Amino acid sequence: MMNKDLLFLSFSLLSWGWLSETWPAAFGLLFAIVAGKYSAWRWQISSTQFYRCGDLSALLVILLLIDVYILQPTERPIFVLLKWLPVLFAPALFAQLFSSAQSLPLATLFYSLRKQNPELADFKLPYTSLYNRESGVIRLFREIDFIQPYAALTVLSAGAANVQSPLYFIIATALFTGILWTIRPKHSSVPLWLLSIVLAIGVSYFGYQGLRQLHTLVEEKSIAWLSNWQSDPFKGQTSIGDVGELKLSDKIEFRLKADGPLLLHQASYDLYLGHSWLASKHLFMPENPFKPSENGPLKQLEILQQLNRQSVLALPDGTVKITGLDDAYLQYTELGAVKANLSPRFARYQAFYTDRRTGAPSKYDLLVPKQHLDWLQQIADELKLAGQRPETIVELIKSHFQHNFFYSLYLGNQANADLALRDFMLKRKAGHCEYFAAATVLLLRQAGIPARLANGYSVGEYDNRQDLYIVRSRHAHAWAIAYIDGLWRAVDSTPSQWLAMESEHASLWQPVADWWSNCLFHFREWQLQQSRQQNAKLELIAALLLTIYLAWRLYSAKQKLSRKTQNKQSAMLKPCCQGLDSEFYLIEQGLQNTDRARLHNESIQEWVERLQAPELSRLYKLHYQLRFDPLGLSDEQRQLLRQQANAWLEHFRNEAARH
Amino acid sequence: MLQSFLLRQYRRVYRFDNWMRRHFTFTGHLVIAFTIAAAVFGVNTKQSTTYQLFVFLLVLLVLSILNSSFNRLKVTLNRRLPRYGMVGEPLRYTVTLTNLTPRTYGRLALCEQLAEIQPSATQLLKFYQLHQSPWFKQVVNFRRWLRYLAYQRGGVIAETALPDFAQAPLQVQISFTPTRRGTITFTDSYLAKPDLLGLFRRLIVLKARQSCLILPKHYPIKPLTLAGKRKYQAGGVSLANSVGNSSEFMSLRDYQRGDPLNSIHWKSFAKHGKLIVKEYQDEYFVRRALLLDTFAGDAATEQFEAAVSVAASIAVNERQNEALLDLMFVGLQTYCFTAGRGVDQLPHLQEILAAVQPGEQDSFAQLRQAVLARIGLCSSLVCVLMHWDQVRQDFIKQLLSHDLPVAVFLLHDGSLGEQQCANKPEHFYLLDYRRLAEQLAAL
Repeated sequence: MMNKDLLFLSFSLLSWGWLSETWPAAFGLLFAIVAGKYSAWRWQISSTQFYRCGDLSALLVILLLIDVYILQPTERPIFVLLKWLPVLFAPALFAQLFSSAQSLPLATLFYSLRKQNPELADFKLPYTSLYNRESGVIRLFREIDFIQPYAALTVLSAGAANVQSPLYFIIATALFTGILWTIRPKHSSVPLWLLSIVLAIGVSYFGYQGLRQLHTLVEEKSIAWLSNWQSDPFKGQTSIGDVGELKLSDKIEFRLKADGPLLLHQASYDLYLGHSWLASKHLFMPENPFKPSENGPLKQLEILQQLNRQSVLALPDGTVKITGLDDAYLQYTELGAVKANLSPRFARYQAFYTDRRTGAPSKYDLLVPKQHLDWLQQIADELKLAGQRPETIVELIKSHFQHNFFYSLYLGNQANADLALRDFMLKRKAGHCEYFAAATVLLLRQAGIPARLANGYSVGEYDNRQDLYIVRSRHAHAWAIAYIDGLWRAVDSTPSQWLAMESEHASLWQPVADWWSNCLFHFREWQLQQSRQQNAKLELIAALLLTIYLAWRLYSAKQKLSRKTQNKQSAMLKPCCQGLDSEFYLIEQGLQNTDRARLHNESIQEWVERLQAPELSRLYKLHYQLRFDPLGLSDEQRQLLRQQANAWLEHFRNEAARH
Repeated sequence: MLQSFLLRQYRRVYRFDNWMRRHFTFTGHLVIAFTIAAAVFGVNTKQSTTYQLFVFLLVLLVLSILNSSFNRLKVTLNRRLPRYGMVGEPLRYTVTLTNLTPRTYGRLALCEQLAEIQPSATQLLKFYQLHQSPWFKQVVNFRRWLRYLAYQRGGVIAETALPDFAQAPLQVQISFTPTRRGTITFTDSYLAKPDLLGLFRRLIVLKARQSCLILPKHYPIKPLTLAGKRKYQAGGVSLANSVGNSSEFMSLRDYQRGDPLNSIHWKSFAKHGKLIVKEYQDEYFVRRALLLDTFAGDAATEQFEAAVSVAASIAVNERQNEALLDLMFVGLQTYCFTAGRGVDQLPHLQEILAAVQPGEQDSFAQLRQAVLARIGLCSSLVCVLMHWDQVRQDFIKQLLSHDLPVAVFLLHDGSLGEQQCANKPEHFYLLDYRRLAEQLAAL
């Protein structure tokens, strides 16, 4: 390792330690590197052992991913990986630093290169060349000097610290400028080179600031667009005014344990703007507006759900307490929406509720849009709502929808939301739940009852095997809530066949999707139990398994190595010199300088035929087999060749002595 | 349709891959890798700062590419190729580069290239013998496409690093191992010059299109001891391969009816006023025929190559001064080339063998006719076959009935045993094409 390499490594590691606040790791690595430089110890590391170091890095990456995604889910798992890259790739660096080769086979980092068939290697054009700084020559990069790439990797990793100041930019440009300086070609003019670097730094300084501004702009623009996809407690986008057919998903959203079917409320909206419903009080507060003391006896249900970083919970009316989400930060709105902020994970939580939604109505709860006044008045007259008690009005409206309307997934062909609602009431008399809920809210308001549109889920599909209610995406529902006798009561006027109709539209793949969802559910539940009860035990088992695996790899590598050495030793004798120890050569040697000597242009076979010695005929065949058959001779045949050749030679010498 | 679409994509991927490999230095590749990594981790500029590194590296790459457009280096190239190369043996040649500018350049590399012809779907089907396969198996994957390209290219010449390149002419020794026989074409070479920053390389094209003939691989083989008689060769040695009489003059005699006109000695006619003809020496010598069956049929390409190698090995080991050798095979027509003392050099046969292509139709009947037409001239016959069917067995039987010594080399893929081959002649050698060297050595 040269001094400038040490400089690059020290600079990058110290910068990483400083920005990421990983001082112990940075100093530890640096100490080992410096020790490597000044120590005389070097090992003869074989390719396989290099590969094992690469495997160790890969294993560390996998373990880290398991930890951040499964064992201890964190908010930014990918950045945890980025942050620890220098530690994860340290085995490969140390393999190079402490090896006598002082370079790293590229296959250590790229598994695909290990399996490359040497016969196929010629199919590709040769790799680009690498300038080797020490020897001053260019060679093919089957091996690399990993020091500078490692330094670059460390600086990349320091980016995870997210220090939003020019500091990171200065560090990164300084390191890369240093590296580029060491590899610049001989014909490069230094002033021009410096000018290029200064230009690059200048352009990229303004470039990265521009990129950041662009990102902010794009983010702002996309928020509005993306928000239409999610359940938003501030704004509800209905499908009123959409055309075509409503597409429903069979995806299982969550499961719950409850005493019976019920409606789970996610959000309420009090302002009607045609296509959209808005919530006037949309500010989230840390305090739950529903107090247990205010509302009588509590009921309980349990929800099992995969929660995202920010999830709007679906809860029964009058939820006063939630347990099981201790690590979550819960926020509430006055209109009853509850948002949980937590690390994405599978959660099992309990909701305690009174089934009585309280809260005073506002002036918005009685607002009737002018464009709908005519038909509202017409229907109200038809139903004779004027002067009736609120309970009667609710019943009349529900009965009107139940008897005169149909549930339909067909969205119609009217693109204007206001006209679509009018069509629904006066002509088509068929629609999905959002039409029923919106029309009910407006009719109630027309009759003088404060009303809001609520959305959430209708729980009704019970799974006997799991003893749980299953809530799918298609169970998402909208209904009206009316303020009667100091309480908000649910008024679900959608004809009751809607669930059955939507079930009929279920996908053919639903059983398969359900099976997979159940598998995931059971795994996550098991994982949840483990993390609660045996977190420490699990880590211990993982560590134990890792130790066993590493010990096994070490043992098998040793075995392979010794086998390889044996093979190598035998190979040294076999392939290039196979059969050179044949005793047949002794016969040839013994007959030299006699009239029976083998001629230069004579093959052994011809020679034996010329000698007319039948006992040699068998011997020369054995000799050929020993020399040229890749399988060689069996032990018995080898013994036979040895004995008979020696016996023949002995006999020949005796004969010669006698004459 | 699908196949041609795939081939187009293969070509694009291969071209892009080559472009990247040739144009970027190792550091350039690393910078690209880090640019991509920085972009992936920095896609959200509020969660990490690697986007700053991404911008810097991207600007460096762009500057490098722009830098490379300025070039003052001018070079000439002169390549000295040997006349022949041989499959599997390193082919060494010299390239002389001359720098026409006064500057010294470092870290240059010479990229020699062999011509590549992008295969068509039909060529691939033929090469991999997929005509009979179901349609889904006829789809050639990228790996096979590359393999064909490599086979057709005939070898890989590694990039050669040049020492500092000043004004003095620079001689570079290059060697590579040809992987197929036939003509290998060297296309334009490139001199790769890294840019100012050392990330991107400008490729300076050096026009030097040349070709070299690669002879088939041959193996040491014991000379065959076929007990053939010397045969009368009308026309003697020098014209043994052409029509007419020998040029070795013996005597003059009076004209007899039926004598050819071109044997009349016109000077004597002018002197004596009667027709006198020249008489030439009758020649008797050994003439051996080497017959190569070019019909590959279902056999693998390697098996056919092995058959050519066997023929080449026999031709090389022929004693040049003792006999003539007729090489006979069927290509577009039936060919017969004669080599030996006074006729042609035996290495010329190697050149011919380097160009032999497998036949698509079984043209053995044609070859048989050609052999039977010359049977009177031949002392012995060596057949290199790839099939042992009834037609070939009958042919060998017919040759033996003429009391002609025949040796048969039958190439197979390891599926044949001696017992399975009926009607074997005395000299019958069964050769597994994958163990050719050892089996020929053990003959």
